[in-house]
Amino acid sequence: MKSLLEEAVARGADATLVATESRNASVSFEANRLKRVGSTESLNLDMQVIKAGKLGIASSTKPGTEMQLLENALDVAQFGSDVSYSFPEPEPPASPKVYDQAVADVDVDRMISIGEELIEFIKALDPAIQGSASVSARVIHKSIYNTRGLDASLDKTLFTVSAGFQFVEGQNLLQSWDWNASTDLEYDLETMKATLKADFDIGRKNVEVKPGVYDVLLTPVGFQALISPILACLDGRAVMRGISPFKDRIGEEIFAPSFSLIDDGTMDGGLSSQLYDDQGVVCRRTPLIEKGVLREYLLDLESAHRLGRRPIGTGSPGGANPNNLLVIPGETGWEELLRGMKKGIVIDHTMGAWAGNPYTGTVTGNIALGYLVEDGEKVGRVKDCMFSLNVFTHLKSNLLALSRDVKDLGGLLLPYCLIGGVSIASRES
Amino acid sequence: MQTPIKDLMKRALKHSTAEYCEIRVEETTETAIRIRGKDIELVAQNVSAGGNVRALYRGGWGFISFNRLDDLEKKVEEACAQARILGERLNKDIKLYPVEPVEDYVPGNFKREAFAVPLKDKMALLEGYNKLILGCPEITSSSIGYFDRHTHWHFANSEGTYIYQEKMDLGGGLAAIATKDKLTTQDSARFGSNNDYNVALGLEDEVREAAEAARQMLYAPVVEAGQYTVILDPDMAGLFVHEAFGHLSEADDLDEDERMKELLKIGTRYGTGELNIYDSGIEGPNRGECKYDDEGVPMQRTYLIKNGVIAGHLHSRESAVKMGEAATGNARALSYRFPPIVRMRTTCIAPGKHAFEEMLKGISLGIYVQGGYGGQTNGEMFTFAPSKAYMIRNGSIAEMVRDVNLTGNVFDTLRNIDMIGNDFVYKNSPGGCGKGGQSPLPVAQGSPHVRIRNVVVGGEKK
Repeated sequence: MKSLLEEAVARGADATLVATESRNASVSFEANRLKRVGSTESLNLDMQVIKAGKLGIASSTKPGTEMQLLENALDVAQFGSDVSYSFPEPEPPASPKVYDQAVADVDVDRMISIGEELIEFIKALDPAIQGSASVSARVIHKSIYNTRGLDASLDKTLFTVSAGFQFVEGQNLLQSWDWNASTDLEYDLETMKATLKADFDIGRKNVEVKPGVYDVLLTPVGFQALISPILACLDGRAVMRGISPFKDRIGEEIFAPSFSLIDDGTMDGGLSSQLYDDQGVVCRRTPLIEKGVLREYLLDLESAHRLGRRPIGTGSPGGANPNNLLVIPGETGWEELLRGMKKGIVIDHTMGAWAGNPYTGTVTGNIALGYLVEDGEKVGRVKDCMFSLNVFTHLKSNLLALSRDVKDLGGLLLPYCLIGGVSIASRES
Repeated sequence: MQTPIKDLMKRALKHSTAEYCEIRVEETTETAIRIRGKDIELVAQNVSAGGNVRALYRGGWGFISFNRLDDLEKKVEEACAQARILGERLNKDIKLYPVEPVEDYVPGNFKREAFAVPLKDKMALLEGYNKLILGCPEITSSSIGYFDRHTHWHFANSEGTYIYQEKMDLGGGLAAIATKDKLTTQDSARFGSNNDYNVALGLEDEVREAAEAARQMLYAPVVEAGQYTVILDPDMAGLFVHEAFGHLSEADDLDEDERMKELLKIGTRYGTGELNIYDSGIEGPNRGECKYDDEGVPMQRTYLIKNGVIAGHLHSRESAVKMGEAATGNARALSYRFPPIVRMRTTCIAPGKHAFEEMLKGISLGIYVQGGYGGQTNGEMFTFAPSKAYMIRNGSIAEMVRDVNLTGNVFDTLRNIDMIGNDFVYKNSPGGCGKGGQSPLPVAQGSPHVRIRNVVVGGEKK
């Protein structure tokens, strides 16, 4: 790789090269039985060059074609974006613990037995249920080099277990799934089983929900639908272009004081932890929203430079790309939040909530899996209805509580969120 | 290039110890361009090359994907060993639908090759659109995306088949963004094709229309939540049929679930006699269509609903045998990194007999939705969001409304289609379909206008 960078310099360019090698082993179960064993080896080379103030990008998965990669990057740089930055000098990184040799060494038999345990549990719920599960172990070696002397690499492991079911009764289809991902060989099958059983027990009873305005308890999975538009508005490029409503609002209280959002690329065990972002900026921990106050945007080198801010290690050649994102949890357990609801709705899985315009803050989606709550108890499943809220107003004025329980949804660590005044539209009988 | 890979694959397959084994080898070169506002944001040249081996033994599948092709025999042995580990546990007699072995060489019959157009010409075209967008009234920014891909695809299996296909895929979106106070709105012109770069040309009128729609949306009220009669334009109706019925017809989600099979049994009525739905890989220059699927099965037109009654399902070779039906050429993979699963190609509602004006008549309060922005399904329910929407009042199209997202129950909604238009339009967009972690897979849709009663629309409740 060193010779490739030397060649780039000889051709009058600055360059950054990210090389990612990974191998993945997986087992998958479908329709209550073991279906497939798979393994993947992959290599990705991503090159960025800056020549005459213009950026060229090329990637390849083809081994032994590094010089062609450089040629391709130089070719497209003639037409590339004008950049106002240089690749950074190396800074010492944090060293997050994200590698577990036990994951690298795990054998297929153990992965199969984990899947079998989950499938046997699901099958025991009902003879007509259709269970699925998958278990995968991934080992990643990521290196980054640049013409300023950066030369670093990180080994990471990821162990993921997922399970779910489909249960058909007449024209009712009930689906539920849960998963557990970590950088070590720790997994909690009992919590997954409890989630699936609870959904099976309550989800088979449909209840009508009248159109109106309700308190809603979003599970961490459901809460994702509200985080997506916030991330779009925090994107430094959207701010730079003036289309984000967060433009010129650093220091302003834009959400309730109980809402804080942090980007952290340095966490031990973080599924998205890394040493440097893909532009060579060292990763750190950065409050984006602190007690409701806007503190920072998600920045790449270009948007950081143009907005006059210091890069925070969330860059990629095409724009910002967050590391681990954490919403700071509250102090109450989610079950206590549920028990405190007189009448409301639990929203777990949503559909189509991503389809709105993120810059208006409006989130409207189908409740794919959700429950009506009466006097602190889930009384049945709600179907064929839509929820609608505005993230900017609801997380400022209607945020009632965040749970202390947090789930890691693949680098996005979210609590349950209790929120008031959510509009529900449903089928009129 | 063709002969050495073919020989390599055929030699490697001799090492198979499974009941069935196949190898796919692909190389794709891609050009990607992104422009945002006044800035060129990204110009990239990407190469994705690799292969996979899939093997079946006594009901167990082994699958290996890789970038290096130099030890293909070993990869075949490994995939077969994986399949045997499973097969010896499962000991199931799972057959694949018989397909006549074939040797075929299918060069691209492209009308205009996108990959042969110089990058400077593509940049000039897109920068021209960008200038046009930014010059429109009240437009503050733009978002332009373009890609083209050129793929060499090789497939060989232990039954003696070898196929080479040359494929092209291109798509793009030209979005105008309007911002006023703290409100940002957008609309876009979109294009896609599997054989003709010219679809990217001459879109100035569509771009101006999108910019005007984005401007008007700044002043449009948020739709009021409720239940409405809705008319879908062909673009939106295509998205609807993809989400509402296409996914449900994918047989790999049905073939081992007796209750699902019963629910979707051939002969079951789900719509009026005017409703005909089909999925096809042979309609024309649509994204995702080609001669063979990723199991080497010829693509075809498959009727899912004929005269309101279920007529068929979409199949891989495995699901076809399990359900006692024929393979349909719907086993598709996003790339060499994935095994093929059952996916749609071009999914269509056939034209009916109603003129658009006839559909408007009798609607005292409804919504006309245009342009499929995106949708999702979980089998029994679906959502779909239009690019733009207008109220229908007393049989006439009235004011624009924004933030419209619709939902429905699959089974009820098909029965609630009460009029199908006498027009028909294919829609190719730059996006794609997602399933089983394989996204975005190129697909297309075709449809006339469609009218549906009792559709739930999310939004504010006044």
